[in-house]
Amino acid sequence: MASLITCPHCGVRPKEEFTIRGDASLMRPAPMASEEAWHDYVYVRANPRGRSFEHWQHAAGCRRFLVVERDTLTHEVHSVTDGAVLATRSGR
Amino acid sequence: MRYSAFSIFRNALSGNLTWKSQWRKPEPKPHYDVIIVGGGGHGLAAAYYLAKEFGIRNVAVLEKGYLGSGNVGRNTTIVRSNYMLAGNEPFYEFSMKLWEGLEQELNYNVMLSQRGVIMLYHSDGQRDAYIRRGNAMWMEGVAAELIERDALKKMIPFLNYDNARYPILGGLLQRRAGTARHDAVAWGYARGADRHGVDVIEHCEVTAIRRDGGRVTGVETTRGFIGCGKLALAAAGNSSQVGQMADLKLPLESYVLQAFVTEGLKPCIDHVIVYGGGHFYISQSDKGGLVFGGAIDGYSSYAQRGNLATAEHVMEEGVSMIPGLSRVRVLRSWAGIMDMSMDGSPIVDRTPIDNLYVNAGWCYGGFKATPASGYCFAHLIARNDAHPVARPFRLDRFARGYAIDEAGVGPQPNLH
Amino acid sequence: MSAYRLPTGGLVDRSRPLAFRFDGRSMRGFAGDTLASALLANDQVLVGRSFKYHRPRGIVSAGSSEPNALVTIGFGARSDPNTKATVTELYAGLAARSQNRWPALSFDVGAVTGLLSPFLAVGFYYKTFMWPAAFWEKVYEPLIRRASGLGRAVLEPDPERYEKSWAHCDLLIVGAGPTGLMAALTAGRAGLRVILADEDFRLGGSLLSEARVIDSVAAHVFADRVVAELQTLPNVTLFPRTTVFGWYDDNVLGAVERVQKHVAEPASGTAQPRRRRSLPIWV
Repeated sequence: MASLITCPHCGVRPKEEFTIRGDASLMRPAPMASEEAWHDYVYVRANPRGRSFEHWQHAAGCRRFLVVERDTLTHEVHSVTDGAVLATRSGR
Repeated sequence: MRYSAFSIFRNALSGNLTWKSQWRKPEPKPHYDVIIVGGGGHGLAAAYYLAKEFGIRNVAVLEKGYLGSGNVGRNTTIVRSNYMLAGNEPFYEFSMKLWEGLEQELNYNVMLSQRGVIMLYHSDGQRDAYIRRGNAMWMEGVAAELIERDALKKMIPFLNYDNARYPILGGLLQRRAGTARHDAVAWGYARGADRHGVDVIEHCEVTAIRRDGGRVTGVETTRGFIGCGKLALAAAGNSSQVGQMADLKLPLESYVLQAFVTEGLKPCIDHVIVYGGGHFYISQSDKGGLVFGGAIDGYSSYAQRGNLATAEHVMEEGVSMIPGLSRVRVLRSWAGIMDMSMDGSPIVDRTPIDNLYVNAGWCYGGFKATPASGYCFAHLIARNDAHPVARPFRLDRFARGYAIDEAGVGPQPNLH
Repeated sequence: MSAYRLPTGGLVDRSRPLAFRFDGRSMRGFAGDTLASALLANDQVLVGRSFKYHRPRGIVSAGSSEPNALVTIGFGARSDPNTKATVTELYAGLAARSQNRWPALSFDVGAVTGLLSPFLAVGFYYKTFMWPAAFWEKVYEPLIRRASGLGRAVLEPDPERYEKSWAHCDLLIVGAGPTGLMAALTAGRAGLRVILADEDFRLGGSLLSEARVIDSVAAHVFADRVVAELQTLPNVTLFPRTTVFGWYDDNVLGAVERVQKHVAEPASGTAQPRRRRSLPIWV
C-alpha cells in the first residue's frame, strides 16, 4: 500500500523517500503528432478509481524512476518496476 | 419556518419538540428540468440560485451519501479572495461579496467571521511576490495590506520570527477574509433550496448517464431512472468518474487532502495564518479547536484516508511556525478527495454534450468558492452562457493556451 | 487525607507520599496514584465545568474515556491544557488547575448560561445571532468564543524536546491487559519480535483492579510476573505510557510515548531531554 513501497533496488522503504510524479500510463506522442494528441498527453487524465500506474522517483534512495502499480481506492500496491526495465519490456 | 429570536423563544416554550426538519426527504420524481449530481456545497448552492435567481424550480440535487458528507464537510473553512491572477480574482471577490450577505440571504447563521487571513513571507523575494499579489488585488478593487515584521509581532506575537531557515519577515493581510461554519453552509443552502421547491435527495447515487443522440435524457441511480432536461455535474473528487459515464475526459486527477482539529481551547489564535515556508494554514473555530491542514498526500487516491507521513509533516510545519503548538493535542483528523486540475483552477463550463454542464477541478479551494460557484453554475445552466466572472474557467482553456496557473508549476496536478 | 482514602488495598505505595497542588491548594497523594484518585482522596469531588453550560463536573471514569476531569497541568510554557486527570500519573510537585471557570471552580459566573438552556438547544446558533447583521462578529461571536473552549493554550515556545523513532515488529499488541499480556508472552516465547504498548503507566489493564486470584496469587501480582518474564525476552519490547493513535496503510501505526511526562522537569544532561516520541511502527 501507499505507506511503504518495495523499491526493486533498495527494498521496502517509506513513502517519505519518494517523489510522486503522476500518471505513468501515458504514452508520449511522436514529435509531429497532432495538437490534439499532445493536448491529451499533457492535460487529459483517465484518473482511474482502482488500478493505476504512477511514476514514483526514489529521491532519497537509488534515485531511479519507478512505476508503481497501485489501487487508488484501497491503496494496495500490486507491483513496483524500474521505469527503464518496464519501458524496455514494453518495447518503448 | 423562519428562524428568529422569536422562533427560538417559542420553540423553547414547547420543549424544543416543535422544530420542523430543515428540508424534506422527497421521493425522486420521474423527471426534472435540471438534475444536479452532487449534494455538496456547490451543488446545493447551484440549486438554490437556480430556483431563487433564475426561476427554475423543478430541480433535483442527487447526493450519493448524506448531505455534507463530501468536501463541504471536510475542509478547513477558510474564505478569502486574495488571488493574483486576473482569471481568478474577480470570481473569488464575487464569492466574498456573496459570503458577506449569506446569513441574511439564507436566514441561516453561517458564522462568517472576517477575522483576516494573513499569508506570511520569509524572504525578500517572497515579500516582493506578495506585494505584487496585493497590488493585483487592489487592481480588482480588493483591499490588501502588507504587514511588516514589527507590526506583525504586535498583532501575532506567538510566531517563530527568528527561525533560522524561515524567519518571518511579515505577511500579506486580507482583513475581509476569514472563516465560515462549513456545515451551516451545506445545511443553509439545502434548507434554502428546499424552500424554493428543489428536491434534495440523499442516498441516491448516479450509476449511469443515459443519452439519446447527442443529448442526455436522464440518469440511472440507485433509486431508479430519473429523467432530466439538463444535467449538471458538481461531484468534486469524483468528477472524472461521473464524467466518464458520459465519455467526458477531464483534465483532472483526484488526490487526498487531510485536515486536523485540536481539542477545544480558549481563544488564542484570532486570524487565519498561512505559513509561507511550506504549506500550512491554521485558524481557531468558534468552539475553540485549532483547525489546520497542509499539502495533499502526493499520490492519487479516492480513499478519503490520509497517510501518517503527511500528517507528521503538516504538524512539523505547524510547530515550526508556532512553536507552542507542540503542547496542544490533536483531537481528530479526516481526509477529502480533491479534484486537482492541471493548472490549479476550476472548470465551470458547458461540455461537448448539449445539455450537460460541468463544475469541477476546485483543487483545495472549493469551500471559499461555494456561493459564487453555485451562482455562476446556475447562471450557466439557466442561460447557457457563462457568468462574466466565471468565463475564464473553460474546459477548453488548456487547448487554447489560457491556463490559469496561480502557483506557476505547470500541468502537474499534485503540485498545485 | 480523607475518608475516601482506604487504609489498605489498591496499588498505591503508602510509604511514598507525593505533594501536589490543585488550583493552588496543597494536597498529598501516593506513588501509584493517578491525579484523579489523588484528588478524590483529598475530597476534591468537583474538578471541572462542562463545555456549554458550565455545569459542575466530577470524575466519571477510570481511564482515557474520561469526559469531565480535564485539567491543565503545569505553568507557563510547560502548560498542558485539557489533560485527563484519570490517566495522569501523579508525581511530586505536579501542579494542576481546573478549567473553563471564572472566577473560581466552586463559583463560576459562566454557570448562569444553564438558566438559558431551553433557548440554547442543539444548533441554536445557526438560527439566531443574525440581528442586527453587524452584531454577529462584533458582539455574539467574541462572546461565544470566550465562553467555549476548555483549557488555555499559552503558545509560548515549548522548552521541551521531542523525537521521532521507528520501530519494527512481527506482532504489535495494543493494550497490556490479561489478553494482551498473554498474547505477548505466547508470541514472545515463540520467538516473534513483539511490541506491547499500553497507555497506562503500569501494565496489567483490568488485572490491576481484579479481586480474584490467578495462579494462587493476586491478579496484579500475576500481571507483574508476566511483565517480569516479558522483560527478560530480548525479542519483546514493552512500551508503557504509549498511546497508539492510528492504523495506516501497510500496517504502519502511529504511537505517542510519554517518555518523561510523569516527572516535574525532564531529566537533562547527556541524554536528550525529551518528553514524547511519535513512533511509526511497521508491523
